[in-house]
Parts: sequence; structure tokens; C-alpha cells
Amino acid sequence: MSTTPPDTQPPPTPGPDSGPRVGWDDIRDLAGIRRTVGERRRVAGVAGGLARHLDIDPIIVRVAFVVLTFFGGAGLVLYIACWLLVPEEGSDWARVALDRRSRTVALVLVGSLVLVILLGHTWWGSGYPWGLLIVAGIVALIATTFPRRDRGAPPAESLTDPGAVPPASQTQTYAVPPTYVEQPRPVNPRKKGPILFWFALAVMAVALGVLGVVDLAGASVAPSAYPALVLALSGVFLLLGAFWGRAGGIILVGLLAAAATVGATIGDQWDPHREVVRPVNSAAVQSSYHLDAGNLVVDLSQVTDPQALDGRTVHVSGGVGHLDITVPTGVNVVTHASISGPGGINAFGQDSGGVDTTVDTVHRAGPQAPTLTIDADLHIGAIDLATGAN
Amino acid sequence: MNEQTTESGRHPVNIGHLVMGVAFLGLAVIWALIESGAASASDLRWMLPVPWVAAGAVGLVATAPRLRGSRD
Repeated sequence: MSTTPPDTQPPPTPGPDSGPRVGWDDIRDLAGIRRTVGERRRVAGVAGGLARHLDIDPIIVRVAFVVLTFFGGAGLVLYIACWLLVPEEGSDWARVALDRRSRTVALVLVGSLVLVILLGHTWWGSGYPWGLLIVAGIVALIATTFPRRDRGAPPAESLTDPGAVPPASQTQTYAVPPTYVEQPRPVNPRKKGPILFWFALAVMAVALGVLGVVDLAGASVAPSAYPALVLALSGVFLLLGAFWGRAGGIILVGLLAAAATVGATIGDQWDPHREVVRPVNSAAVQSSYHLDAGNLVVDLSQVTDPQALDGRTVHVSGGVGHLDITVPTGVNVVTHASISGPGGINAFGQDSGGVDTTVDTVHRAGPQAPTLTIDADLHIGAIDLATGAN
Repeated sequence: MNEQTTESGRHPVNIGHLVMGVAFLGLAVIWALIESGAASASDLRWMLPVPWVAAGAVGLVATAPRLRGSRD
């Protein structure tokens, strides 16, 4: 492994890139992971360090971090934990200073935590962390604005950096490091040609601008067309980069555009859908109403015999959208409202919002008034409860 | 290396970029079908896996000659 800890034997002199250089024992040596520094670093050097530890291309690890972030923020948790626990190359001490054994245990615990997060969340399941997704997007944006590393640079080993001064403990172990410096890394034949990333970004910007002008000119352009355009252009440039030039980084753009397209398309397609239920007597009031996506209006204010609602429970549920519930005046209402994902609840003037929001409230009309129970559940969106005249 | 870069940017196929490119284009096509009304939301059930299957298949086809070559 490139960052062999000081207390192990020096690695054999690597020959040309003739086979796997990292064995299972090396991979299990979690304490040997080092974050990259210098030009190879994009954000905190975590992905580069992990990629070097596993002897794979850093872009795979970077994409994995972004994808894992979609699942309960697992990627972000892992990244921050590694940033805190893993030392930079040339150092044995991380921001959270632990010895090798404690660091290994801590990293295993972090891995277990990430596994639990992954198992506990699904794509649109409860508690989808939009905030973390936005943070991941910002991190990806920052990462892509950092300068690309020099593909022709010497191998990614810390000891091979001509300017790097190895720490004293490593100097003793590696008596003759110059052999590494003398061996240039074989150029990856698939990393040949001009870097397409910035050109692709420029084309996307122009295309978005043109679409915006078309939109302003009065043509009917769906909001989701913007991220979809970026998604399609990402695909085109990746296909181009598969055969010509270097398309590194565009996968990240495509993933973010895909997520944005899904969100915007949901907005396009289902927001206009509106279902209104307005029963005129208690017999017509059902015990449950449900809508997968859109705006569900349950208006009980027209019920002519609200006394008959006494003791009844009405379940109103939805997936994504807006639940608008109106109850008759002169009725006590016991409300259990919850939104498992992001959203907001307004129950008789009591406002609450955020992620995984629950409101339990009792709206009192008077001691003699009938009591109605409303159970309202939603995954993402808004729930409004109000009193209407009957 | 600079000479190589300026001479030609053509290189052996990059499977990762090829696969993701096909997948993204497929997703964009699905979006276009949904937006244009040619497909409904219920069609997403069977349409969403299609780009990934296509991307995987293209990746496999592109990888096959390389695997055969490395066995020799």
C-alpha cells in the first residue's frame, strides 16, 4: 500500500504496473489510510485517500460518496467522519487524535453506523434528508471547481512527491526511496485528450441561457426542462468522453441533474392534480381519504349534521403534496398530524415545519360540542387544518 | 505526452463514462416522454429500469472484448 505505516516492513520495489498491488491485508489495515494533500486533493482528500488505499480511481469513490448521500446522508456522514479520523499523508495524527488501534475501531464503528443508515433509509422513505442532499451538492460543486490534478504527475504515493519531506519515522524505514521517483506512472490510455468538463459546463450554461430566453419569450417550457437539459447534455458529453477526451467530473453533474429533474418533474406532473371531497352529511363522510400525490381537499364544513360526527375518526393520508382539511365549526377536533419527510403543518393556526414533523393538538369548540378525531399523514408536503362555516 | 494529447484525443473506450452516458440519456428520454404526454406516470414503473438495463448491457458489450483479450 502506498501509505504503509511506519511500523511495518517497507514494500517491495514496485515494477511496472503489472498486477494488483494491494492485498486484502492492506485493505484491512484501516489505520494505514491517509488523506491526500496537495494538488490531488479536491475537498478534504478523503476520497483520494480511500481510492489510493483500495488502489482504484478516485472518481469511483467520489461518485460513491455522492450516491451514498442520497441514502439517508450516509455518504456525507462517512466523509465527515473520515475527515476527522483519518490523518493526512505524512502525519500519524488526525484532527481527532487517536492511536492506530483506536482509529481502526473508530473507523469500523463509523462503517457500522453508515450501514445502519443505509439499511434504515430508502430513496423516498421517511426522513429523506433534503438538507444533507443540498450540502452534498454544494460539496460536489466546490469539488468540481478545484483544479484538476496533473495526469502526468508522478505516482500517487506520498513518498514519490519530489517536494514532499517524509516524516522522521518514515525516513528511517525507507532508506532508499529514490527508486520510486525514477519510475513514472504509466499513462492511463483512457485519460487522453482534452478535458471536457469545463467545455461541457460552458455548453450547459449556453443551453440553459437559450432555454431561459425561449421561456421568457412566451414558449411553454416546463420548469423540469432545465435540469433535464443538463441531464441530457451530461449524457452526451459522457458518451463523447467514453471515446474521445476526458469526461471526468461530468458524472457528478449528471447525478445532480438527475436528482433535480426527478424533483422538478414531480412538481410539474402532480402539483396541478387536485381532488376535492365535500360531503354534505355525516353519512357521506368516509373513514379514510388518500391521495398519492397532489392536493387533497377534505372539506367537512358543509356537513349538515355535525353532531353525528361525534366519536368518529377520519384518516386523511397522502404521499407528496398538500392535505387541506376543513372541519365544521362547533366541533371539538383532536388532531394527530405528521409528515415523515420535509414539510409543514398548520393546525388551527399552530404552525410547525421541518423534517419529520408531528403535531398533536386539540381544537375546542365547547364542552357540549361533538368530538371528531382527524389523523393526517403525509410523506412530503404540507398539511393545513382549519375551521369552516357550516 | 503533450504531443499525444494535441495529436488526438481518441482513446480506448472508457466503460464508466459510456455506461453513465447511456443511463443519463435514457433518463432524459423518459423525462421527455413523460413531459410530452406520450407516457404517463404509471408507465414509470417499467420505464425507469430500462436506461439502467441498457447502460449495463452496453457496458457489458464494450467490456467483453477486453476481458477476452486479458485472458490470452
